[in-house]
Amino acid sequence: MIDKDLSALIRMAVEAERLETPAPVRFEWARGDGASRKEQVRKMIAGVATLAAAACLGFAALTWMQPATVTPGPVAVAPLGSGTGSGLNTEIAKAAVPGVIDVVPAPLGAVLLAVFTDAENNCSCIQLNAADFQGKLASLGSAELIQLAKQTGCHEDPQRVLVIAMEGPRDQLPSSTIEAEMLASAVRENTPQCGDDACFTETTAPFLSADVRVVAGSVALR
Amino acid sequence: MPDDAPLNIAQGLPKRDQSLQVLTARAAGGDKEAFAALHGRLTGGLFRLFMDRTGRRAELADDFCQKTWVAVWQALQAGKYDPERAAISTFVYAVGYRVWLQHMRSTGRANAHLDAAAPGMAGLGLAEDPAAQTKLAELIQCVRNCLKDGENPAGLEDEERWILTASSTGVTDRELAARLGVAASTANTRKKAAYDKLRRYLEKLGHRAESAGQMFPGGE
Repeated sequence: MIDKDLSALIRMAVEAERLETPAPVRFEWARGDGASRKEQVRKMIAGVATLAAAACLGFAALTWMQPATVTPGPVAVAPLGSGTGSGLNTEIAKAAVPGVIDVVPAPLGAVLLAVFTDAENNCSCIQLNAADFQGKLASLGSAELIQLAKQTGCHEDPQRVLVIAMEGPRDQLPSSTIEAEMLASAVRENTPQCGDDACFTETTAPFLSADVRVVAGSVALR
Repeated sequence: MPDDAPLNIAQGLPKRDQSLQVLTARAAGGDKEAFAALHGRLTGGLFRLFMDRTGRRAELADDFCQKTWVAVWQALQAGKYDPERAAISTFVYAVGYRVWLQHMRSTGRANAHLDAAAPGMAGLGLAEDPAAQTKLAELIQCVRNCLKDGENPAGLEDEERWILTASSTGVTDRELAARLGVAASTANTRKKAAYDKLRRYLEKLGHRAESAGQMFPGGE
């Protein structure tokens, strides 16, 4: 067996190992509100189903990972997967097998999640883009984040948008449709009374790892 | 385990035990609830894997997930999964890999994918031979065991396991050297030693070049 075969097998072994550690679980770990794991999962699944139904019925357009325009100014977003990190640490972190080999900490990353809703408050589309807040996330408000999200808006005439900007270890950030749906659904379920950024941010934070910094907000666009 | 008999250990297992092993045994015995729980435990990772493979096309990834789970259920009911040979997650992975390969073959891109994503595995016969997924799962499980902390059946040192994992993702000798604080030639020597250890271990288990050739006909 040549080294290339072995190398392919090692990659497959690493990928197989990762099947047992699906990322969406972290949202459950971070809840810490005493609810049982089963109850949380049930709620999240129900939330996802509601959200998906709302999103998919009628004219809904679900757009994922859309290429985004890099803008002048303090922050920029880019398609997920383009990756801001490079070099050894990124590669080694990719190579890490959970519970198998203790390697360097995961590289940092940032993402901007935007949920656009229509006049009936149904989710019409969700975007998840990689972002670069250049360390200024804490000073950003929802207005700036919404401007950023609108640059790559996936809805022609949204009535309201919820934005969640996150910065932290890349492996603690949502990176797939399922994770984004889960987080968006959980936040939407828990923020019906929120009127300001602080409320949205405080409600969102418990769904994420403590290592992740978050700013969230929601505004009517019309 | 007989090929045509479902696992009979499912009966009598503690109902509350939700470990993958127990869920799998129950599912193999026809327990749909246990299969649903198994699905719930592993499908997030499977979906994520397919998302990566499909360039984040959610519909396609979802379709692959469904095909994989149907095939897993059928394999469990037909007694074609042997827990002694591979963990269920490894088996699900192998089945998923076959589903993926079948799709790639149907679109005429299998070799291109294999060349890009799994060099040395071009010509993999998985798509045609359903039994090959069991063999592949066993082989992957052997490697997985070698990489696991504490098990160490191949006698790999921590550093060697790290080198193997890192180099399999494309980390160069120079980058390995920088990380290890040694010369690139030294890193290369250590990498070769790690590969040799793994190769010897797999050969000891019967996964020799000939059988590997059957699994990976494109290999040397």
